[in-house]
Amino acid sequence: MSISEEQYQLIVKHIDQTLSDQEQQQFDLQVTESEAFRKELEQMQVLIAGVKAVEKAEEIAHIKDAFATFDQERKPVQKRSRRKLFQLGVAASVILMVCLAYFLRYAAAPDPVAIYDHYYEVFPASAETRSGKRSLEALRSYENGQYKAAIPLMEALVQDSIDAVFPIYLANAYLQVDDPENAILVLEKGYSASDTAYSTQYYRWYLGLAWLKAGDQRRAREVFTRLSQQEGIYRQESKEILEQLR
Amino acid sequence: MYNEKRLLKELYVHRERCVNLLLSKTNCDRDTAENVFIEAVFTYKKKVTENNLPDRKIHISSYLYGICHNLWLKSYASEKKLKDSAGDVARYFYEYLPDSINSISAKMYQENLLHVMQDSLKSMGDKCRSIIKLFYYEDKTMTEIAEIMNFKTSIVATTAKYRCFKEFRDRVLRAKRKQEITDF
Repeated sequence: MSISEEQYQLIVKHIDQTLSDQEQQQFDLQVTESEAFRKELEQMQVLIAGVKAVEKAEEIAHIKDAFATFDQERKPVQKRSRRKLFQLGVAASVILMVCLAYFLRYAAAPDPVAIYDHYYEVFPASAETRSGKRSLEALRSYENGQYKAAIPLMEALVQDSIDAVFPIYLANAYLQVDDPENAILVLEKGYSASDTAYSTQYYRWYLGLAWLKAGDQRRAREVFTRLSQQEGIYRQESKEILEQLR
Repeated sequence: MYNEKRLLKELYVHRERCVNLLLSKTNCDRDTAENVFIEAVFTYKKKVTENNLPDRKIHISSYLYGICHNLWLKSYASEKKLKDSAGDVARYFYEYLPDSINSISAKMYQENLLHVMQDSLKSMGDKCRSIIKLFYYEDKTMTEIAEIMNFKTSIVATTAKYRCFKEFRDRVLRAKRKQEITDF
């Protein structure tokens, strides 16, 4: 069943909302009386919904395409940026690690040998004040900086317990020949045998320095802590060293 | 002068913010949020082309998000999921279909019909398709269409529109018969 051209025009005008009053009456009548008219009307509405749906879908697809293009335009920049960021990150990390290493090596972590070098002064000896051939020979070698030669001579004097000060000379001789371990042995032994507060200070001072030279900060700290707590000539230096060892 | 690419680029920069806002303020997933945003851009663009934006000065990002949120609420309420269907002709078809028409229910039938309509429209000449689009989709008046399409008068444009739409209808009916789609 089909409709006439006139009926079709009525439907188009209804959809386009251009019906005159008279045409509207005809339209209403057709809707009531003609099933073919109603069917055609429905068909036209479906067609128009289809037109709108197809056009909207195309427009949405167009927007999606445009956004995909913008995404593509942005991606190389992002890639470059990411690469650059990565490179910057690596460079920054390297610099940071170098700085950190420097800081740990030279700033954060105390260098006991550097502290030792700063504070160590060889215990002064004067051969003139000593009597005895062996003592004189040992002290002259020591005074002349011949520490290797002085060590066996001093060892013998220490063995014989000639004077409580000889272990200090011997320990200094060991420190001068870069043998802090033997210096420590001598000083610990002599320290326990020392009988005056005065000589104890020297033992402790050089023992602390020997521990520094040996790289044992903990033991050095123990020694300087005791020195810093007693009145004496090394109290201030001990405090300074402790400060640096923190 | 309206520049579509510039407008889309301007709206594109607000995508991430709108999508993230939707994700944080609703329970939708990213695909849905992205599709809602595309539809919001469509709505905004339509308002621009129709010169229908609010008179007051608007903050594009907030305005777009407002549209997004409303679209999401609408789809949530109607249970029309936007996740996979942005650009889906069928969904739009139902949006535009008058409530009085409910005879199209079989999905297979509907898909066939939509394909037929889509193909028929695409096979039309550019001029005819443009007139149909301008009148039925963009709601332009015949005077505007005459101006856009360089018709001498609106009456000439009306006649052309009538002829073009009839041609579209005939193409659909022919294709329908060929594919044995029995009824709308």
